[in-house]
Amino acid sequence: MNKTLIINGRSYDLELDPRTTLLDLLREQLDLIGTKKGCDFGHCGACTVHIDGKRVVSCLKLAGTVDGPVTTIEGIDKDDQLHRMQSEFLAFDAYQCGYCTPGQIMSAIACVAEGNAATRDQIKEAMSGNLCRCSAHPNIVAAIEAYRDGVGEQR
Amino acid sequence: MERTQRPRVEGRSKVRGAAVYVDDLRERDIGFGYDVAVAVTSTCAVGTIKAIDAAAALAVPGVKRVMTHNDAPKLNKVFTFGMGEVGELLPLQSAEVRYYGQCVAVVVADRLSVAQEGARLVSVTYQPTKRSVAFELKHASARLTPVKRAGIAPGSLKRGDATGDYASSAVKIDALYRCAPHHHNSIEPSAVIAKWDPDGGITVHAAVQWHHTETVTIGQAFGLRGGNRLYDFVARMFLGRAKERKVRLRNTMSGGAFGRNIHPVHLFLACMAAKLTQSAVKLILTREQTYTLLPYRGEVRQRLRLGADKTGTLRAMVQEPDVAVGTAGKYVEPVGEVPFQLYAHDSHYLQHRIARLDLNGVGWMRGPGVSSAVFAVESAMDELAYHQGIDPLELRLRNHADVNPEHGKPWSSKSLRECYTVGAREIGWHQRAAGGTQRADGRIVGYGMATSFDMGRQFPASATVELRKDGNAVVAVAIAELGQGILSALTTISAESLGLRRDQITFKSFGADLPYAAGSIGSTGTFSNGTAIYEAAQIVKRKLISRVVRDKRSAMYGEPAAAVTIRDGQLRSSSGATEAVSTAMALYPANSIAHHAKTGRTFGRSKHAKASFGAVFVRISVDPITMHLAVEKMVGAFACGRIIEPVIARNQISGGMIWGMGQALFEETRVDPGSGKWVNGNLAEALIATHADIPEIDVIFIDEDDTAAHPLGMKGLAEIGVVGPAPAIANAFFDATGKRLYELPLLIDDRLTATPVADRAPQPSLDTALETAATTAQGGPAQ
Repeated sequence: MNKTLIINGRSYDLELDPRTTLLDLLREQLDLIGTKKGCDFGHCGACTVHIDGKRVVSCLKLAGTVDGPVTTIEGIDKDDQLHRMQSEFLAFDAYQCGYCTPGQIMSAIACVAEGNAATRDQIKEAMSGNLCRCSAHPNIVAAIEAYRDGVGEQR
Repeated sequence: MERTQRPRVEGRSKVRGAAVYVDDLRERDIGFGYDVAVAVTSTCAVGTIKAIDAAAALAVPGVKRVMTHNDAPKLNKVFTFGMGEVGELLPLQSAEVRYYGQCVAVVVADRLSVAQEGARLVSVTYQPTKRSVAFELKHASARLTPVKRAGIAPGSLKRGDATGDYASSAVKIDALYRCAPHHHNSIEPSAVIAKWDPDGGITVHAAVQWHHTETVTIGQAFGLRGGNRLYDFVARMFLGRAKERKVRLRNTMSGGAFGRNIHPVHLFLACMAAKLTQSAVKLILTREQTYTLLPYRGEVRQRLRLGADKTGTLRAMVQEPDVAVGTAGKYVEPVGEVPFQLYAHDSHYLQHRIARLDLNGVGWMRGPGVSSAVFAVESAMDELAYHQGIDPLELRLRNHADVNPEHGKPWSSKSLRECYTVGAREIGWHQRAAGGTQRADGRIVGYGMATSFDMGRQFPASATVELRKDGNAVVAVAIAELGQGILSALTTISAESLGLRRDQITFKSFGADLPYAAGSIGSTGTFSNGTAIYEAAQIVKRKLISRVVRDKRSAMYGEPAAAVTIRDGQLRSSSGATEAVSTAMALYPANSIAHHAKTGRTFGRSKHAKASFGAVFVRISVDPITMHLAVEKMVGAFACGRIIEPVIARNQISGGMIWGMGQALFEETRVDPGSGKWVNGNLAEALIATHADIPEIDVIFIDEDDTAAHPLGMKGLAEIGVVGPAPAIANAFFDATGKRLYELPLLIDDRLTATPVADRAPQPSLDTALETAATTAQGGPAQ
């Protein structure tokens, strides 16, 4: 099937096997490797991207059914200037191995935008779809709180 | 929590999604394209493959080959230092099936989706075995056999007449503990890229924890080297001889490892598929396959007996672990390695037994042996404390081991008392509510504590340090960055050892032809490799200084060499003269000063005993009706020598404590007793802690100087965080409910039989808690 998709602000005219997930489209066809495959079953959240600003696990989304602009981890920093959530993750050492990190960051941005970050408990609940086996959770939550409070320097 | 001024070396790439893991490698990164391979795994535990029908798979456009035992390259036997499954069972070498989920075929195709489709279409028929099979220790009593070794530790130990002393002890604790099997569950499923080179060598891109051992095993398997297997291994480790230059293993960052990247089966599968198809191949594991093609921590049952006098002073320790191992591999969880190093005692006895189950091979996993051992010892110590009406912390202090109790050597440093003091203060131990106190919110409160311990080890390592003309240095060492932060820590050690700034250090760590380095295993990687870097840096500095003090053009001219130091990229003399290292290097006749240092050949043997210590305290609450257990606060105070990177170290230790909590509350991979399949082998059902589960966690490092043991003053740090939370939580559950639990994880089935608070009238005080404790203890183990 043919499909036109906007990904990170760029338009792609694609020829798709209808079975292709958004995750495999990104990684295997477009070489956008920042979005990670952890389970391919919607269990781990490593593949989280935004469609129309809403967080979606891209492994459970067929590429052919995507109905809005897609943003991946590669699309949030501009001209080498980190997105403020990325800066806070860096500043709070909110990662270890880094494999779940793109998904955590994409999920975190949406979590705050959704209004699900008013309290620490709310953040923890709303971020629980993103597993981190290295268990950097306390630092991830601290980074999200700092982002929410907007006290971080713009980097 | 404060912002760090010093993010990790690779941090920026990680938050941008630009850090590259094996599955991310593209032609633009490695210079060649590849086919994609997917494994097909057995749906029969023990039996023989009768037939494999690959016709439907091969009919899919784009499928290039289906590799089975019929056409797979034959491999030579390999020596595995990590004692993995592949040392005894290499993949696709026969029609024999020995576990559910064993690789029976590999489908190679032009792209991932086609390979997956092909793998789905391969049809395998099996002749199941008629012999009896066993997947759990409870069904394998007949298979139990004593062993002489467990991991790299003794399988049995004996001092004095421990069983006699136990029998004559005034107080006896005798219990049986079980720890469920569980998997590493790293979020990266893992992939390997292999390409055979025109000269008959092989290029492999993989994420391994010990570059050296995997290089050797690949070389052995494919006959890329001759001679005795063990000799080759040792020659490379101690003499720096690398004969397997034809194995070009390029290590890549790993998306978590925790022990799973030691001798993975698919490392061979990718090389085999590349050989058979004569093309470059990337083999990608599915999440489900990580449960059988990667190792895990096997089931452990242990009987532990403590004999003590009425004051709680330990006399005898008798530990009898029964350890599950898979169908192949020499690794045995070293459950008896640390218990006798924890507390002073008179006599001890240890004997491991193993049962070979019809499962895939077990392997190293964060806190090997010690995590299950300390669960037993610290649960038993708690039981002893309540039995005798002694505060659990006071009991630990009474039994403090001033020297290593196993061999009597003095500790290089030991700040365990400080850990107890600081941890107790932070949790409010001495002001705590009596166990079983019901709060206004209706929940029952419990407090628990445990001692934490990890052995201090050093492995042989080598590193090359080269100081260049521009005053910057290049450090070459074949390390593995798994998220533990070794790149950042070694950058700091390199800068400090050379007297340069961190930004003046460049690392060569992922190449194929790097000097031998110690692996990232057993909390030893940073210390072992840091030592080699430190030694090399001393020689390099000495060469530079001894040259410049003789050079009239240098500001250091005429100074005694011993009076010249280097700091922040500047040479400084005792008289106050300074000169940039780059200026001094410009005077140096050669283009660079390089030294290759080899260290750790005695494995850090010294007249001191070396270990890291800690104390973990937890507060939990329990719902009196549902027995829902919430860990509310964990405090870990640790003394691990000098901490090189405090922010990273705190993150790692906190992560370890979350693992320990997971071990207590969730972690168990269950095997279906009918089929031998890991039934919850996926990330939805193999529960691990996630954000909502995380309590308040305080990690406190006690300032400690271990320079008595080594100039770097460091000890092992990685694994100790895992050790302690599980028994502390189990002890807190006892404190809250009066019910002692002997199995990990602490399942709701077991918790529900605890006495609801309403039945424990009047409102339980410490005294009634003690009474209940005594009754439970006299009743013996829960088994």
